[in-house]
Amino acid sequence: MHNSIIINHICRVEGHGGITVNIKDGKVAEVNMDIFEGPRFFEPLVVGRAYDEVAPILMRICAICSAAHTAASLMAVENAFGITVSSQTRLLRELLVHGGNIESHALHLFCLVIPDFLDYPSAIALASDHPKEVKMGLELKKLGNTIQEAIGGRAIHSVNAVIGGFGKLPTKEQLLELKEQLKKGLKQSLVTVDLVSGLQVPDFCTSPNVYAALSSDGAGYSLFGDKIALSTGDTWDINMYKELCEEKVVAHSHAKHSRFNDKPFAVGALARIALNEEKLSWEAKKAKKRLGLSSHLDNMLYNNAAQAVELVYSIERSMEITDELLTAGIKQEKPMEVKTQAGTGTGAVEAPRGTLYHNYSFDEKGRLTEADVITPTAQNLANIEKDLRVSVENLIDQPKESLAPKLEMVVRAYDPCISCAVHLVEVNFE
Amino acid sequence: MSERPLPLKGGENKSHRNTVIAGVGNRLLGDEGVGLHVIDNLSQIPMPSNVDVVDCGCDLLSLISHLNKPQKIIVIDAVRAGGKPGEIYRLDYNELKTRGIEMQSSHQVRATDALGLLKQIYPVLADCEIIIIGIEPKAIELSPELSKEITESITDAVRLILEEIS
Repeated sequence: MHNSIIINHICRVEGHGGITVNIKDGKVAEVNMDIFEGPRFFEPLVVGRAYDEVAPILMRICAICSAAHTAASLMAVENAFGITVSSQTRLLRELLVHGGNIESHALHLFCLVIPDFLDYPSAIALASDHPKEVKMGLELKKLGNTIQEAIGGRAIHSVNAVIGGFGKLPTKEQLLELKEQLKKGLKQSLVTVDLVSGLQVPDFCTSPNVYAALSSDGAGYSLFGDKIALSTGDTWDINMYKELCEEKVVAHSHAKHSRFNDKPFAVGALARIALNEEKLSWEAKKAKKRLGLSSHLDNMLYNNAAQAVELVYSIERSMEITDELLTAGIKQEKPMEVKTQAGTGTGAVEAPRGTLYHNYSFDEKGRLTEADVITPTAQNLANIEKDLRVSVENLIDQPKESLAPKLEMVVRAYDPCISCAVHLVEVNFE
Repeated sequence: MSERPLPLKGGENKSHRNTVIAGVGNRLLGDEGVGLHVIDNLSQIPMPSNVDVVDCGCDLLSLISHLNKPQKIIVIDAVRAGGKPGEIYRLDYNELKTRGIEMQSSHQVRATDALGLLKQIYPVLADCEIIIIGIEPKAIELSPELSKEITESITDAVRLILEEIS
């Protein structure tokens, strides 16, 4: 019988990260997931800065989620100053965020998940046997980068998206070129769904989940929304996000843990589909049915399949937006004027890994006085611990050598911003 | 951000080889972002038309958008190799592989895996020379600033890179 399982990752951020499971008398006594992330880390970077310096700094929290951080940050500033952006800006911002979603989901599925499920040690090993498939995955990631480059001006860390609008707008030619690439991408995303449908998904971490995601007033599935919906039926305005997250400092983690009514909850692709599945676009809805997602909402390992569905959705929605922009014609509008005032604003976006909140307070001169950034990974931590506990309980008779990779598989299914770190595990059994 | 003036001027790419210079790192993690600070400096220097200078953030796989038949890729990153802070290393990709040296990453796919994957998938990279210019970090912690020693090493790193393309 194991007494303890410690999975330490080697990360460049010293002293952070890892999974520890303690077992007493044949039962799981404690499960700790420790990561680097959390609001107290980001605030010192921006307090005292001018309002227009905040987004260019905080978008760099993550290269993969850069578009979502940019959008959430800009919306928080705009909400604090009472700025309403144009419908064209909203569409362009949405397109930018879909670029990030496509890039992130393709990268996660082809470089981390599929190698895991097919028992390859890495994407390189997978590529030696299946080069066409891995190349297709990288082309989908490139499509996400291309969208961000066309709209944001750069493949990562947008320079065009600014407070109140866009400093530089895409040309008709760029949108037409994008449309052609999206058509090809849609076919590739459907092949991805075929590939993911062939993966055997184990059920060792199955347990009931409470899900949370943004809910839009519109008819369509969306990565934006003014309301937060929960699978319990509760709904909040995004300005009330702290009530949902109820962040608690826990001794073993550098991040705060989010709990709702003292229970963990999950955010991400599976949460979004669980809450908004009826609003999915046509091909995405067919993909969801093909992958049998509705029957597996209690198994977070299906989050990977949910990402494949969203890959299809984000491409379909990007095509819709591109068509809408081409039909209306790009209006050469300037960003809305900024008049600073003392105030507080929240911006929320569905990032690839789940709901992302930025909340800022400014003084009357537009200097930032307080900042709160709650990442999806931080919200998922308590739920990851819950799933790790269930997994260990179900697999406790397995040898440690086979148990540790399964625990890593659970963590990776959440696609946490430490997925690299979890891929870099050194396993030390005590 | 390095404020040091750069006495260097960009030279011609005498070898006429298509070259991509890629910085990788996270600017919010102190010295972890040194590769991007080097890219900032290189971006201010006129480069030959066959040289691309790319800020990859912490995602080296974003190089796929810049693979126009490159014959040489130069990756600039923080590399812990036990030297003094600011010490600069020139490493050949093949040497990394044979010696089993890993370039750990603070995000997603680590740099060595990204390079290996790109080399395997894209035949255009089969004969491409890949060089890593590594800079020994002092502090990798949440900060937008570089350590003093690392800031001082940027000019030498830039000089070394300009020699690589001339």
